[in-house]
Amino acid sequence: MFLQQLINGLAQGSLFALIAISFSLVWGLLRMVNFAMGEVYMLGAYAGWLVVAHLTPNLGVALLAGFAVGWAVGWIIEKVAFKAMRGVPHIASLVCTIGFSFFLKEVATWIFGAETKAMPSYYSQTAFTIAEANVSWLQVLMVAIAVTMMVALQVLFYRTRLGLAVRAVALDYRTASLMGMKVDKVTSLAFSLSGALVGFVGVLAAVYYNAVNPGMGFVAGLKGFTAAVFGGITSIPGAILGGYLLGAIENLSVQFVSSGYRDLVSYLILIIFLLFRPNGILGKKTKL
Amino acid sequence: MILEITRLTKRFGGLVAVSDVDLAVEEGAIHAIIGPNGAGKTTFFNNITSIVPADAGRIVWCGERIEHLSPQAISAKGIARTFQNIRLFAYMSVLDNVLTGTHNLYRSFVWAAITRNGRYRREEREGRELAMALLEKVGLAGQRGEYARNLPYGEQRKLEIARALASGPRLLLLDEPAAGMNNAETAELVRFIRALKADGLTVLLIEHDMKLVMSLADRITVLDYGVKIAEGSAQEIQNDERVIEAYLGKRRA
Amino acid sequence: MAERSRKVRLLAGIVLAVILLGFPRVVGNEYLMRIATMILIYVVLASSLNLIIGFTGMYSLGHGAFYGIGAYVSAILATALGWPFWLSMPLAGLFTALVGAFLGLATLRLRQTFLVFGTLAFGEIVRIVIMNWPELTRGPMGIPGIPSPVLFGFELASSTHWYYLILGFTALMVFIIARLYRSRVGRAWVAIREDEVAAASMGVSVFGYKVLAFTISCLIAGLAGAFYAHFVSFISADQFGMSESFLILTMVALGGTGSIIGPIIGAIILMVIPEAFRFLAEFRGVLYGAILILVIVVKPEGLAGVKGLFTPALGAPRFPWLHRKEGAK
Repeated sequence: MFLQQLINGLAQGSLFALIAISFSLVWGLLRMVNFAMGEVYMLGAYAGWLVVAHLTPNLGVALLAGFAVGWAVGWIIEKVAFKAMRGVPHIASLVCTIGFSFFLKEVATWIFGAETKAMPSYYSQTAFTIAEANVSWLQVLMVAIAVTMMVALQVLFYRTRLGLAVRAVALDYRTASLMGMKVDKVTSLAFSLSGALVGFVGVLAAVYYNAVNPGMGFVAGLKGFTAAVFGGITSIPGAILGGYLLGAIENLSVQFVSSGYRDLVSYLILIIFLLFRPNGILGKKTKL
Repeated sequence: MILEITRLTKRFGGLVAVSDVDLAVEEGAIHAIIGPNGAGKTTFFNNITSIVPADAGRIVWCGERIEHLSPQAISAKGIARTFQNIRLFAYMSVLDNVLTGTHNLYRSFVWAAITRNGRYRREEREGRELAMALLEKVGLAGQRGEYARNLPYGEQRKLEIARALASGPRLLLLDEPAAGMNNAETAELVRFIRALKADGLTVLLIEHDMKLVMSLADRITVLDYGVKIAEGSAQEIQNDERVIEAYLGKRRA
Repeated sequence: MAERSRKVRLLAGIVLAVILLGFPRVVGNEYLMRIATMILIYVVLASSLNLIIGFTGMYSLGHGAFYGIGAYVSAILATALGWPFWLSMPLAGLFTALVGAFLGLATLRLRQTFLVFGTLAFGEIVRIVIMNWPELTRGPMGIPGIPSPVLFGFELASSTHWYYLILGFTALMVFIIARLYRSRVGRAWVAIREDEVAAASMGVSVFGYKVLAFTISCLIAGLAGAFYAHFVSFISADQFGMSESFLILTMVALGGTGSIIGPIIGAIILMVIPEAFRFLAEFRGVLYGAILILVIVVKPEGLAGVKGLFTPALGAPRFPWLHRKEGAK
């Protein structure tokens, strides 16, 4: 039982980790949070669902759709909530993304209806067994995808000129701009990329849980943020660590508390870390 | 010595902004702190008022050590300040800005505020009288309803001083009060500070305007790269080699 | 000039009072009176949230939860213990204030961004606890049969009674908030919003006043919750979730932060729109979200708000996220 929960935790943790990375990306660049990240994830999931329900059962296409939709929505949010608001304290941008979060959720409810829609399964057969625990192909795929994404991001940031630009802007906005880097484009890229990432994850999640509904973004976004804070929002390794740890803890917690309280565990972790260690596990123990 | 500072030090990472600075200020004196840009003067002020607490050193005010106190407590002990880049309450009226300066003098809290009881009314009346008197003194009485943000720069500086004086301090820290002022305004400022001194206030002053400093200051301390390089009367400082060097660079042989 | 404006305000006040008091006579319609009563409740909720947002610059997304705590406490005391409304309501307010004080003490030192998430998480925790504690709260079934208040043996059950009762409550709350605003306490709050460092240098206990604002705000929200519970006589946890917090936030943002009239306007507009334009009912949520986005981008302080919150403080850097301000939010 324990082992099964752990395996489920790792699979779910992959989802959390990727969402956490998206938060970390935007935070690292702009010290800001896109409150609507969860809703971008949700829209990506719906995109995938639309593909599978009306176009082609090909999972790859669905994932691509999620990626594309996420990219687009992320781009839009950046233009409205951040670009249009230079010089205004960043709390305003945050509140704007709160608006987006609600807006997007309501739009999805309006277009698709509030009820949960079924998403077909893929690769749900058991790949192999460890002791008494089953590991499905999907779970393997999820972890594999997560790891691939992380490696890809690592390559992007540390082996390409674009990545160099991103890191430069993250370290020192003004100097980077003085050096001729197109800071605006980097910012836009960060939002689009983080949106694409969570949109992609949304499809994965839809497949894993066999469901899409407009409310799925809220919990995912909040937990993704929790994972980022947990591991350390200032770094990508922190986000990854936080994601997997949170996934493991949440799934293992059903051994100790009733399943209704499962989400509570994550939210408590968020509050505790915000209060006592806002830099997260991997972060420096200085004022954030 | 009303204010005695010993070996004050403040580091920001690898940079030592204030290094082992000693300072003794006589009661009722006007003591100026000068030095090239980046010398650590504003940081020094921040250390005294604990907005940015120092890493090491002692600050003794009226015989009491204050370096571990909060900015609020230090304000309550009679030290007030103005800021280098004016920190007024922008969307608050001129009168309210000064009234906020009186915060420490009064005690009306939630119950008094809601019921407008005797204490509340008395304190509001006294506070208003005090604030208006100060505004008269700096010539801003006519603008009392205006948002602080809408005042011209020179008047904003005056308002900041009025606000600082509202708590009835014994020591006033002025951070570049003459910045951006023309000659007429500067002369008026000099008169004003002299009047404050006549009222018994001790003034610690950061300034770049040498004429003002030389004509006002009883004593001058010079900082450069966080280190005290000279101290003395206006006459002494003007002729001090190290000071000249700090401002102008080494004299060519 | 000041004298004339006082006369105008007095006149406006009288006209308003006449309208509000005469409303039930003119509009005999039960339904409209219930709407009006709900508008009044939201006026209170938005005004209380404004204490946090407009006066200290911190954003809370947990207000729906405090509203809910007040409602549940009063409902439980009334249904399970048989307490009269006049006892359960103040106790509900006090309990909510206490919870608010604790939360405030814990979270008000956080950066703005993190406070938003902290209050959001708190709201969710409250909802989960309510749902999963059936012995206390009847879980997802909610609490039915919450009794009406009884005054001197007379039961206040009709829509008209409730209208006047809540009108009185709302007027009292707005009055108290207005008095607080124009006092030493209010000045301290505005000072904190404008410039925390300068406020601290004037002797204002920044943290203490933030907690005070939070606590009073929660007290009022809790009282509103209690009134609501007895008004609608049936409550359940899903009425007090994120959507509710969001709605109240949008009311404050739209109407205007940092002023007395702002939240009132916001509450009225957002409650009237779905009623006035029936065809919009389906799009209510979409509309509210769009409104919040638009308000922030176009006029961040809201229709009738005070600018302080969203304009960089005098002397503050233009790109605040690039610098670490001392005492940065």
